[in-house]
Amino acid sequence: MISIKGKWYDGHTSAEVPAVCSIYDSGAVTVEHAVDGRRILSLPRFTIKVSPRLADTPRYLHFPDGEKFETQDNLSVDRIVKGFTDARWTPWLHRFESHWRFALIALAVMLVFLWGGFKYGLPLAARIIADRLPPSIVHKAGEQTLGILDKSVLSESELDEAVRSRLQKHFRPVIDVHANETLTVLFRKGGRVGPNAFALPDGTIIFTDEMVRLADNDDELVAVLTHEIGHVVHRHGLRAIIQDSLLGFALLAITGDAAGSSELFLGLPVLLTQLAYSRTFEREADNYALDYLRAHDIPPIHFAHLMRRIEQAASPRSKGSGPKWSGYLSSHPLTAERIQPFEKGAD
Amino acid sequence: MGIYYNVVYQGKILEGFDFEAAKNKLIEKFSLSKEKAEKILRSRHVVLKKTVDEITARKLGLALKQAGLDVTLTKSPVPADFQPMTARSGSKTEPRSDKLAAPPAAAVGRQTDMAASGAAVAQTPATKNLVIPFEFSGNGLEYFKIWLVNTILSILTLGIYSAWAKVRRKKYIYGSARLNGAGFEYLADPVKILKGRLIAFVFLVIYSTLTELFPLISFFFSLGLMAIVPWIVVRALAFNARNSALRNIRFGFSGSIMDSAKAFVLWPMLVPLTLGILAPYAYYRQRKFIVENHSYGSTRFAFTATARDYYRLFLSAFVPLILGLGLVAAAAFALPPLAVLAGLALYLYLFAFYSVKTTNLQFNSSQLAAHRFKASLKIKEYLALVVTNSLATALTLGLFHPWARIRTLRYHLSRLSLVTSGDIDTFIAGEQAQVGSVGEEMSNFFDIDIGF
Repeated sequence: MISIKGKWYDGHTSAEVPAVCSIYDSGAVTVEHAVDGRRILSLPRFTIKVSPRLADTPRYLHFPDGEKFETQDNLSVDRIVKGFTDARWTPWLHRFESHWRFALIALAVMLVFLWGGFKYGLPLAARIIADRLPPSIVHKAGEQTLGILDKSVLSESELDEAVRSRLQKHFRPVIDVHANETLTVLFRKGGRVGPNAFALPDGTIIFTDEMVRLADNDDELVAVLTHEIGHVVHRHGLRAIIQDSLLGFALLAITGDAAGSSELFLGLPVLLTQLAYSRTFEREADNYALDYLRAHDIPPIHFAHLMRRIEQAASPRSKGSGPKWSGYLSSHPLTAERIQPFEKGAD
Repeated sequence: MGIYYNVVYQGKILEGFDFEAAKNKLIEKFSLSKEKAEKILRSRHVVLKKTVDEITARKLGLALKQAGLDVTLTKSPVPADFQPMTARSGSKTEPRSDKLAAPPAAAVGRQTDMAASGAAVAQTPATKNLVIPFEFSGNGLEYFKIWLVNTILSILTLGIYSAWAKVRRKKYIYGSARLNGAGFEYLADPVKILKGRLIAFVFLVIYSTLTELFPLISFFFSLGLMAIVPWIVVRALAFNARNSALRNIRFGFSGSIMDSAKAFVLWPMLVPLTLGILAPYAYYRQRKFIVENHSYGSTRFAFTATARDYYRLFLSAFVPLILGLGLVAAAAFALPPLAVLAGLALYLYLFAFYSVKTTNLQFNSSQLAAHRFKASLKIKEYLALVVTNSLATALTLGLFHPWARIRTLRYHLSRLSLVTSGDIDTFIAGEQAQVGSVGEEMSNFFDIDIGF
């Protein structure tokens, strides 16, 4: 027989009775008043539900008619669970949770999984989804993004018609090589964005006027164009959207309790991961550009020159790049690191 | 200081009496209604009179035994400042003091209020208030290990186990919180949570895919989402309340979707239209909606704060805000990098300021029957908590989060107590319908924890 001291609640009112619950070897259960020994309830068979062990929180024995017996005597309740119930995995769970060795293993497994999942798993999933999205949706998405950009930051190009058609003509051979991508080159006044170029998911590539003016010769712009085509070929726009969303879902599914927190930087890991994804894409696009330029006998150094000038234009006082660690907080790899292979290509 | 007794009936009728006879005696001698008499006789345990001196308890016990009820006297723990009630007849200052206390022969005519006070037969007479602090025994390390093991299982099962993980985490947190020695219990069914989670997850995936791919019409999506926010709020609160219990009595939430729409859509929408003037009012309406619709068993919570209290609270932040902005501006002038730090400090301070003030106001204005809550969070202490939590979370890339959660809860509960008026044994269970978990899972987007 196992006797446990605790408190009895009948489920009808919040009244509390000090009580003793006894479980006999036959499985019969009695509950008696702890002070005067009066019988409160007796069950011929073991028909109570026992809450699982969880650290040293109180245990709750739920009786068939809604009564509850609450106790702190975890050891005795564990013996009951062992003897009278067929709970198999909750005791194990408690063992895992209460030992440092298991916790450390769990931590290691988790870090490996998170690292592997975020570095390889999510990007792979995103690529698979991106490749399977119907072109019509991709096209619509690109159209709408352009619409928003035009409404918010970009405005109509102020470049001469002659300059624009000269560039389009100069870009023609590059675009013709990528016949199965629906590439279109557009020019817009960048305004706040400054000298820049970007690729939309549907193959639209936008050059800002500022970028065109900053270029010393048209081949520099071709170098940038190949970088942007790299983004299109690798479906970076779509993959970024899908990857960032998946990241959010994954974290939500894992933690599921971000609400009600009192910390400020809970979003930091997400942001760092997204930035890391972005830098990976930039490197992929750079590699694509480098390969293309080399294959078509365009000196890769053009790209390096233009990048240098963009950096100078952005922060004229800066001598080079910031400290190394700032790379983790940036959407692009450090310029010095990026242009190195392009400069090497000139040798 | 003497010893005091409770007069307790535990469902046993004396030999020689049957149910009907005892019922009739109760009706006759104690002027109880038929329903009340039956209710008492059917209960397995009811405190008929609490914390009275020995003579009063014996007299009442005898009277009840004459009616056929096998009552017992139990020693009652007494607060230090407790003023005992005796059965002195004619004490007019405490009109409810001898509902059952005087022997029937002495004051037959004065016993009618026992019937009038309904189920509250066992309510303690006008005692002095007793302050019962909430206790929290949760431990950051312990919770971290639980979180870790269960999160691993969630990952290994591709998120399916996450419903069980959630229940386990919540059970730990609830079980670690105690009031007067009784633990809180989280009773949600993981399978139900899993279903809700799947629906919410699919909804979330569709929603965010559409808004990302079609930014121009995403406005309509968010409008659609806004339309279901009131429903989400109600269902989430109801699910959580319904699955929380203390002393084997469940909490409940009964807010209507219409009121929810007013509190969470209509008033917030009017805030920008009135240049923010309505912000404190909108916030007040939300708190009121949340508190007033909660219940413990069949007893509703009451909310006594007024819109004026919330305006005063929001306005009181004005001085620190202006001072802080001045400091930030000065810092920006002197040394720009310093301004970032100053801005962050100001933000943290305001965050702590509002969290503390709104929490205190909400709890200090909440009542359950005649019992009140007392919250006394301190801005300085909370600020230290938020700063250390934020730093540790940032430095560990989020791994500190479970720890931070326990620290925050422990602080909140260490500053929260229940001020009772009468005893807390008499709450009666309420009838509540089962609630699905879709709303609760969807509310993961929103921060709507009332924090019981």
